[in-house]
Amino acid sequence: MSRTTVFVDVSDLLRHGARTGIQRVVGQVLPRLAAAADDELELLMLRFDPIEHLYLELDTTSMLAVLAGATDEPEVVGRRDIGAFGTTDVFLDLDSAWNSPLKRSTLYPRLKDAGVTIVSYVYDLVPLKVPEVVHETTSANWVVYLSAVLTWSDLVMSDSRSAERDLLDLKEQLDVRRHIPTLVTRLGCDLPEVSAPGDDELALLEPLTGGRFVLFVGTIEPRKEHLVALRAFDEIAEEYPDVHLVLAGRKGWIRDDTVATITGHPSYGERVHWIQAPSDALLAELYRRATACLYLSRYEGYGLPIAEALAHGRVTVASYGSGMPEVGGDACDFVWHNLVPEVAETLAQYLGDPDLLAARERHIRESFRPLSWDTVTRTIEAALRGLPADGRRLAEGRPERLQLVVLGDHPARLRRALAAWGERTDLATELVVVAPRRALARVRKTPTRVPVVPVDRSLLPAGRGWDDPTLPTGLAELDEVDDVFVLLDETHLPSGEVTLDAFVTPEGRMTAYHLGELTRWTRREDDLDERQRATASILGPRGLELLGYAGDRPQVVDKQLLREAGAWADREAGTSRIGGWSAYLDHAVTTHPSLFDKRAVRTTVEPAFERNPTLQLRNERQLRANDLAHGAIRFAGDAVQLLVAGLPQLMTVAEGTHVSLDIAYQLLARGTAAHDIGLSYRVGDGPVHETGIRRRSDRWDSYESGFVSLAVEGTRRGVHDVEFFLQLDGRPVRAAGLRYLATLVVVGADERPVKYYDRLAR
Amino acid sequence: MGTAGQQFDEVYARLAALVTEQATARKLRPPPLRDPSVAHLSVVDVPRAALLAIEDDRSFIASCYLVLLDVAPNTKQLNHRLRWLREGTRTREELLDQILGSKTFANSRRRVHFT
Repeated sequence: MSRTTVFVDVSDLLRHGARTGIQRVVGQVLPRLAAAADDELELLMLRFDPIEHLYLELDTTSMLAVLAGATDEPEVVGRRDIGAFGTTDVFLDLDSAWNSPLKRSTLYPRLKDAGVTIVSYVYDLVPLKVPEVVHETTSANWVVYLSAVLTWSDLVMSDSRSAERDLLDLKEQLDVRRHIPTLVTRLGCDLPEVSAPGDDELALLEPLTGGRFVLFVGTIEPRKEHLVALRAFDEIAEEYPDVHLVLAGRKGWIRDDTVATITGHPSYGERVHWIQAPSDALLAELYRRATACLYLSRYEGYGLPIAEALAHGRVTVASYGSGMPEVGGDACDFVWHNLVPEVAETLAQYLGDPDLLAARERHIRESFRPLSWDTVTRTIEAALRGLPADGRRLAEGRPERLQLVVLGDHPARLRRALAAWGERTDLATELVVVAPRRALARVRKTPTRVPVVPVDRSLLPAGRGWDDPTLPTGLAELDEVDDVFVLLDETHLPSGEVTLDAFVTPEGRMTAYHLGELTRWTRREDDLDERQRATASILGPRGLELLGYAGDRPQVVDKQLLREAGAWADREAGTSRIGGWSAYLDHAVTTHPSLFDKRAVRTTVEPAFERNPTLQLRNERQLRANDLAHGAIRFAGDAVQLLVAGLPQLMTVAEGTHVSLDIAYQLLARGTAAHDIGLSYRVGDGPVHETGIRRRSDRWDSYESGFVSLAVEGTRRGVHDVEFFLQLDGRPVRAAGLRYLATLVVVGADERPVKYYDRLAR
Repeated sequence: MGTAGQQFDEVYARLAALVTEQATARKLRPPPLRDPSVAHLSVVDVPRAALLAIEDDRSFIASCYLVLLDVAPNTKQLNHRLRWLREGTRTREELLDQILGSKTFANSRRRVHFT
């Protein structure tokens, strides 16, 4: 086996030093990647020499010393032409390569000519999403970089699903037709081992003595909503006179009125504090002493301070947008619109209720699993190791047809499936039926155009990893089954002509149909839902992709990758009842990302959601202009309290469609009695729509938090009251004894909502 | 479907238009987009290290103007940039990049093709 060399260009880090979070990623990942070197993989760091127009090869040990801050200049051990790479080489752009004098529009085609596998990291789309925070020269450089990525990269890694989605949306918008494999690695948030801060820095904390404080860590720049934090503080300052606001972070390069507003605040230096450039030691101390943390931002690829605050066990209030919900998950409190009342009310809820604060902190400590840089690097490393071999596999081309494996036990349904797949498609080489012997006897003579191979299910070899009957790992050990096959069950029928493209793309990549982010699996109805949640808790801390897959449709399966995933699950999941499809595909996609084409699917039972961005924008403008959003709403029954965040006061929807609300909840229970709990709404005097949160039969804890999705329907044009309430054992419980009313504006297909908004204003 | 080079040109043109549109919509100065096959920084990387090594900020700014734009900075330009450096609003590297990204530099056609 030939050795794969992973080349990483660290020119920008050496030119500019560790200025941003990106250099922090480079500094964390590369030493670990270097330490993982073995007979199959090595790391070589490069520096571009713009005078000679070639790469300088850097001594790994001395470059690691630079990354550790022990020295400034790495030792040069060789020189390399920018096209002098080989087919087993991988070129990894982890640094801010857009700033490099060697433009990727020049480098990447040279690498492709040499047969190199190109892996690029896209942290975010800030120059496009929030251009006001980017220097225009950086934007110009980034356009060149991203265009090169979209043209030549073999794999794009990103730090969040949100960044990945933004990139793929942009790819579609730019009409880039080629498939680009992607991998979400997320980021680590190991807390550096620090000594106690020095006396000078501790002196900065003296004004906080005896009081409580809310901490906001982040560079002072317009993207971060420091001024919202400041105004929210003003809202609660009188009610909580012992509370301070501490802003920790350096001043960004953009000149606006943020700093002046902070330093000109009447309480500046007394109850509002700005600590510029705190050391790691002081930062750790601040996190340790804070009552709660804030992180408000318009857009983030990831949002590392959220993870750091939660890793310190602090209640954290963050913006619900871009990559931030993925970082905080249900351990974090969110504000949906970055509005002052939302932030103030969410903070006040904790500042005024020590029991709630304690319960939330306990939940954070028990549930938040910070991802380590070791884990993130292992994810990157695993993907890099497989790339050259996977590239060779793709170069061999795709099969013309595939074997279909049908699982089932009902003779009539099996016969119908065999007839349909055998007669109505040219896809199948043969049909392998895995079923109980009695069923096999009754399907043997089903007329099909392709051979039928019966396999007695009781003789299926014992597989490893999970006991999910929708994806038995024993199939990987079955001689009758091809290396790559399509697995379906007896209920799956082709709705028309099914072609190979549905399972293997023209480039030879296997399709992987997913149902969205696994951590946001809000359905709670059957065994699959329980398994998906268990799978998320296993995959997440281990750095694997976190998409929800299910056997709700035929999916293509690779025997070897199934075997690998089964062995991994054996080691890592133990006896947990996990979902086989999510475990298999998330493991396979993480370790062999270039072999897959992840495709989002929508279920047929979903309502027609409102996706009119103009309407959403107008609704958002109204919300923002009138502060029409609150912090968590508290619904209190005798035995339970339900806190619900994310309920807007105004929703706008086109007639005949739905608007989907992502709602976060916290459930606090007294006593041990079990209850049926749900969140409901009613439009006007219409019927009650309920979304279940917990069933009487579920395991009963005194505290629980999570997300639910609520689809609010717009059936009749006009302005309607919507009432939300807790459903407790079938009875409605109103918000703190009152009706919580929101307004639903339903517009006609070609109608603008403004006339309804005007009516509301009157 | 054209060559990868042609595909790049098309993607670049569309993305450049999109970024410019976003900047214009927000009343921002549009990014100084130029021929992507031109490596903008290379021509000055020879004097770059020397420029950055100049001890005195005033001399550094004046030298940047003279080397990159072939003109001396006027008093306003000089004081403006001196303030950036002293207040830490921008580093020397960023100041250099800002001049390289300026319209004046673009119009000077002081570029070099790498390949």
